[in-house]
Amino acid sequence: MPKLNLTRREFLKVSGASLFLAGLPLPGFTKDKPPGTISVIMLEGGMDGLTAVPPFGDPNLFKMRNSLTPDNYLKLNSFFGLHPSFQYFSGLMAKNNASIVHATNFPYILRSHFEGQNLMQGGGLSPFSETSGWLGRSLELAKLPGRSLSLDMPLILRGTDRNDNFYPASIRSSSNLKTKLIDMISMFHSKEGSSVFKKVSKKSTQKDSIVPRDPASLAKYAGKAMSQEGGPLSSVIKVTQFDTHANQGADEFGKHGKLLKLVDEIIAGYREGLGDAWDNSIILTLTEFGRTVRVNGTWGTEHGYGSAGLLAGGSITKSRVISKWPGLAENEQFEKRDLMSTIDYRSVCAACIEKSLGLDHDIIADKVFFTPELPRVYDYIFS
Amino acid sequence: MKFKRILLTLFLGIGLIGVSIAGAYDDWTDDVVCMWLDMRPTNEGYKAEVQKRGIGCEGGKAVAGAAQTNKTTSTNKKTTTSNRSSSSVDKEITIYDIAFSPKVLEELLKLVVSQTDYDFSKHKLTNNVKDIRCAFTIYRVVYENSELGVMEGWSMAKGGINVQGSDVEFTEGSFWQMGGLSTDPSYLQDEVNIRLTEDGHFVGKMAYFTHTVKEGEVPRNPLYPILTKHKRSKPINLKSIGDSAEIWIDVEDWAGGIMRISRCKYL
Repeated sequence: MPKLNLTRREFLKVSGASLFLAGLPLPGFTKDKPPGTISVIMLEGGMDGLTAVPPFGDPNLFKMRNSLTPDNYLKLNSFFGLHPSFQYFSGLMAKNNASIVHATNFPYILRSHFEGQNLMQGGGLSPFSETSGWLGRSLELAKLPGRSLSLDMPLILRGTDRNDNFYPASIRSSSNLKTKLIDMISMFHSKEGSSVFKKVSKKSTQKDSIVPRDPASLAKYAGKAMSQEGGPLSSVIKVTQFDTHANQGADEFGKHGKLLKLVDEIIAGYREGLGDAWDNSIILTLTEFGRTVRVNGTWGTEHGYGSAGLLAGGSITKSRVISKWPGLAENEQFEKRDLMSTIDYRSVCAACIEKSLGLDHDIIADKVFFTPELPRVYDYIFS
Repeated sequence: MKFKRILLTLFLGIGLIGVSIAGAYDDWTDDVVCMWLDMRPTNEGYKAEVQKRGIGCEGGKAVAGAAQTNKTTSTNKKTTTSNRSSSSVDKEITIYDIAFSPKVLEELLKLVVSQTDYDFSKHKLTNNVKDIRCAFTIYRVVYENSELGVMEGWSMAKGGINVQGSDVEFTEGSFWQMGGLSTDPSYLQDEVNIRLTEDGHFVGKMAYFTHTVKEGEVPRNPLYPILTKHKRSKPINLKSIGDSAEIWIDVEDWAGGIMRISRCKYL
């Protein structure tokens, strides 16, 4: 058997985009239909917020990272720009359907992918402290048991024992084989175990399997599903490979720029799929950390702290950049190397939950993020 | 003298009570608390103070944004308390409004288009058609071996068409026969934007499946070809709608399509 030598970094790079859908309202169970839908794009590896949304008004930006800042950024105002990869997103900003929160992140400063990703999904007070995720807990509070379209159940959606999952894959003549295999396994189980296998057997022949696997198609599929009456109210798409330690690039053809383009296409896919349901939707990005302010010796960046969050959807009626800008001078950086995070991104997530699922901020702060004093930033985003 | 002694005792007593009521670290800055925690990480007093203030410590210094880490505060959520009121609003946040020039704004607005968006302003659309129902069948035309194309003998899609005003819609029950995503009927319902021109042509855009996808094969997204006045089309004769029509559709270099329209009648 060939030996598979995967480094931690290579492991992070080989995983592709995945889609998870959740929050199917149950007739007679869900009290009131929530006001909207919430979709999360998880950007794993650490998105560079300073490249995505360059603060060109800060005099230190070009001094410190000229080679990572695109020349052709779009000026959003007199201080912030937008990376040229965000073509569709810029159009949404023009339509007042998109905003940016800058110098923000989950309160995690130790720069480990695994800890950071766990914290951004779990929403706990420290990595690996929670066995459920902040979105799953929110759906549970809103009494919306969900369904996840994936082989596994991502941490972010865990939180209700009525969750269900499915993996949208289709292999030639696989249905018959899978069904037979599942039937054989189920013979050795009784009662509840057997019923689970029956459910799995039924799923293996479901039409849901006909979905292209590229992120934009998944987003469109998710949007379509969410736009249906009684469809899921939440979805999660995961994009990996933002960990650009070398040859990060500045423009839309660079390594980071291509990934930003992918994010742009996902948002466009959602818009296309959601149709009229766009008006009550909110899409937000998550990343485990930002990247260092300075370029490293291999024309890339190291793991950092503060980054930027992108928000899109018809729930936003006024486009803006929301920030408590900390500055980029060395003494203004976190540990003299990273963009400082001055807005707790959990507040942004809380505002999006409040808008889409209609939950009270204090309940979200206490029961979802276990931080009763979590500041409310709802009005900055949605007023 | 005795009176002075009493006064001094009272003064010292009140002072000592005051000291005992005030927190032991109240006059310490966050950085000082973190510095001591860094030196004595197991000290319960310092740990409790960090937790009470809701700060995080890194390298002996306080971290803004209440960053709580494993290193300093493996906090149990049940014991997390704060003196700050709930629903507090961070008043230091600034809103940077978006300011595009009118020219840039106009260009940006063009970027948000649906795959079926189409500008019909260059066409003269009919507006006096009332409830026409037709049958349609789409065939593939392959250009690989012939410049003029060879129509294949099997249909890609079939069903009915409704025309109302200039709007063209496929009726429920219409279907693609290309497998994969094409089996989803919503593509013929939701992803079609076609109008009828005064001279009987179909113009606009629609989701179009040009490749067959068999069970188990990788699904393919539809293409969105533009339907325009094709020189090889035989338009619908609005004066004699019973005549059959042929709408040619350019899709890809190697293949296109013909939409055959027949049995039109007023409802």
